[in-house]
Amino acid sequence: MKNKIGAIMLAGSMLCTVAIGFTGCIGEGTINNSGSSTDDLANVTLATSGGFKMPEGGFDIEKPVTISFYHTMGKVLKEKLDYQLELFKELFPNITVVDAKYGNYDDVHTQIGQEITAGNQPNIAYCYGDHVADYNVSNSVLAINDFLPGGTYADEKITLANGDEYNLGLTVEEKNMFVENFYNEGHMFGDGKMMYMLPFAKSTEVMFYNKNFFNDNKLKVPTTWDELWETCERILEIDPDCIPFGYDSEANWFITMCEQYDSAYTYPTGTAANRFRFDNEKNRSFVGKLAENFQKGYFTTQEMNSGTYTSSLFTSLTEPKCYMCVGSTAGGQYQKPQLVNGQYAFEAGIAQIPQIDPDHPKAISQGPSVCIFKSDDPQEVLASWLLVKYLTTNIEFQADFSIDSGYMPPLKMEYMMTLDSYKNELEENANGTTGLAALSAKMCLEQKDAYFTSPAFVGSSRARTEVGALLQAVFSNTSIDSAFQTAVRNCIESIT
Amino acid sequence: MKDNRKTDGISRKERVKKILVKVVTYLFLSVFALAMIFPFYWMLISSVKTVDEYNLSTPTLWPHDFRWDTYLTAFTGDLDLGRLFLNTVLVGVVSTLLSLVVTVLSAYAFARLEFKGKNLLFGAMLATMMIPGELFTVTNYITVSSFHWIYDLKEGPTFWNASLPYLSLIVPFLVSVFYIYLLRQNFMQIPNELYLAAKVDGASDLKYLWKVMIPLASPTLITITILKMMGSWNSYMWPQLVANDDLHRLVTVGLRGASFNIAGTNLIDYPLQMAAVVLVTVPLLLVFIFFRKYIMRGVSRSGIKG
Repeated sequence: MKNKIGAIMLAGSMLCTVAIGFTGCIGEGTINNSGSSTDDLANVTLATSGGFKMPEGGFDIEKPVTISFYHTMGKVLKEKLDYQLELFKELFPNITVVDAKYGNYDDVHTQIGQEITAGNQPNIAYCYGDHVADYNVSNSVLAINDFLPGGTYADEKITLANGDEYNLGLTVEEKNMFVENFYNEGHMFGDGKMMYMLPFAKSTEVMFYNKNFFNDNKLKVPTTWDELWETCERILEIDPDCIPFGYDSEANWFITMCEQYDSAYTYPTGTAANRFRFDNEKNRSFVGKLAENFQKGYFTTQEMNSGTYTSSLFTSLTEPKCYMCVGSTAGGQYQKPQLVNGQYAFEAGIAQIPQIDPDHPKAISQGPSVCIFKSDDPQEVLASWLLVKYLTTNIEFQADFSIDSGYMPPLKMEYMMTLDSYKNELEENANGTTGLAALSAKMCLEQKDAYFTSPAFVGSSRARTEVGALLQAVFSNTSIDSAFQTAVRNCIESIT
Repeated sequence: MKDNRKTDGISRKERVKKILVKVVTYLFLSVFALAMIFPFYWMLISSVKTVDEYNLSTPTLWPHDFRWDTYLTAFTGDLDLGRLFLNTVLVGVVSTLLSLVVTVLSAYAFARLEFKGKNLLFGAMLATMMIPGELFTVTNYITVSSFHWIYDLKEGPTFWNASLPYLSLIVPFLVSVFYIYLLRQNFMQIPNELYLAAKVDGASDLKYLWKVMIPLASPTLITITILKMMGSWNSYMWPQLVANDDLHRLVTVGLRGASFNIAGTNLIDYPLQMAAVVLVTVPLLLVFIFFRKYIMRGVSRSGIKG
């Protein structure tokens, strides 16, 4: 009953715009106004059990079981999925997977939020951490700790249709295939002991730059923010009509700067006031610096560019152009230079986003993970886990998905490169015109230690919205004091 | 003579003033009309542009090369517009017909029949108009779900599983308090003497309703039909929640969730998307253009501003 009420509240809040406004499931955390909480949570030792109860006799390979999977895959990706589901069916003939495509990640979130109220939720779904935090208002998502290395059922064995023995849980070797920071996103909740998601496909932000312009003018690709501002000044001297630099997402910029400065952003537990920690001296200082450089005409952002992605300036043939642009790797195709008389207008280069400390780079991690929903039928839960494990650790599927989607695999480069087709794609097709997706995937896999994600809790999506709005307000001449105060107030009001 | 000149002078001034007011008025209206029409114009020309032309950073106001295949692809491609149209028309027609029956009978009861608590009941119904429809979504969802009117992905397209979800699209919106109110006001304007005369002639209430009231209120009924069809065609939120599967999806949901990616790439075919939007918009636009006088007449007859 308690869960049902929680579910109804959850759905109601989603319908009233964004899922916010609850104080349930909150533990008390220590108050720490400096430093990021992501490292703390990443280092937490996971609980050995997520509460799953194995049915007597374990997974029954004779009993037919049907599981559902909600995603956002278009036709091309769906074909890849279907192919893998056929192979999965050969391994587990008793498991039937039915899948449904929804428009985008938010549509999946809204749909499931509603279905939870009636207990119709799917078995598996694409998710972001914020979504899982919302679903867990009604305690609907399965903590998968039992199936992870060291978990209660990690070493449980299943005899497959072909007679082979198969490990139910994730082996240590399989766990080590994941890029560590992507894997750790799965437990960026509460005290960090429960794992709710496995990474499915990832993207991050990189800096696209106009290689021809940089070479012609003997410019060095900036690796730090200070170098970036110097480069912007030089570029403005060369081309006074341009906007040298574009950064698409204001929210990502703020969050990334917090991480790079190791200054506080949010914390997943504690009272409302203690969870939104981004109003501090370090953050005010970098926001002030950004505002100063905005006024000098060094950069623009998506919202300051009338809501249009800054890639439109990067690929533009007319002024105002921009020569450096930070955008998502999943949208790399939009940075593709235009064809002029059968020739590409320029060649694009890809670099890591500028850093505070290039020796310890930080880049935001995005892209869908997958979570499993609780079910009264433990066979459904086990079948769901088997599919999640199969898809996320399947190098062939991850390679196909990455090549077709522009997302990068959540698995480490050394594992991905064992597949010839993927190796060829990255080594032969990566270039600054037609092969931007491959070029960015290559770079992303190389910077595997740079990824971070902010903790997810009810209200974290609001914090993200507010810090994006905060930057826009400051760029539009609102005072720093007022912008920070408004953002924090809005965040707190959203969950109290 | 002097007076005439004065009169001529005043009338000339007035004429100039009148013309100026008209010019400003028409200029003002033209600007806003253009602002309204431009998105439609943009949608139309975008639907026949090539992908490369659409993606130009400096947009073209008139296509260099026309591309018409987008309209065929919208029907034959992944979008399956035919199925979406079929579902939408089916839901629209059935729900409109049933809604008309419910509305006519309810309006007649509230306008002509005398029963205990009539005014209280009508007042209570009107009060529900103050509550935003979105607030009922959760409870409605739980209700239709408990009736198994939601498509069960795991069960697959069995007869009942494929048929019942249409009920979840139709039944929750059969009763519209606004339409009942609209028609009741219209029925109340019909003189009571007609009712008494019909009674003297031995006509039953239903016969009187069918033979006298409905013909007299036909403009309002046409208005309700059009508004209901338009509402059904445009509905998005509820169909997205209860019928977001390949079998039952309506045009709005299908359009919103469709992938318009160019095969084998992650690039979006925006002209194709625009062509699909044109195809979905045109039927409603035609309905509005040809029947707008009925809509206005029906609303104005009932003494309600639309």
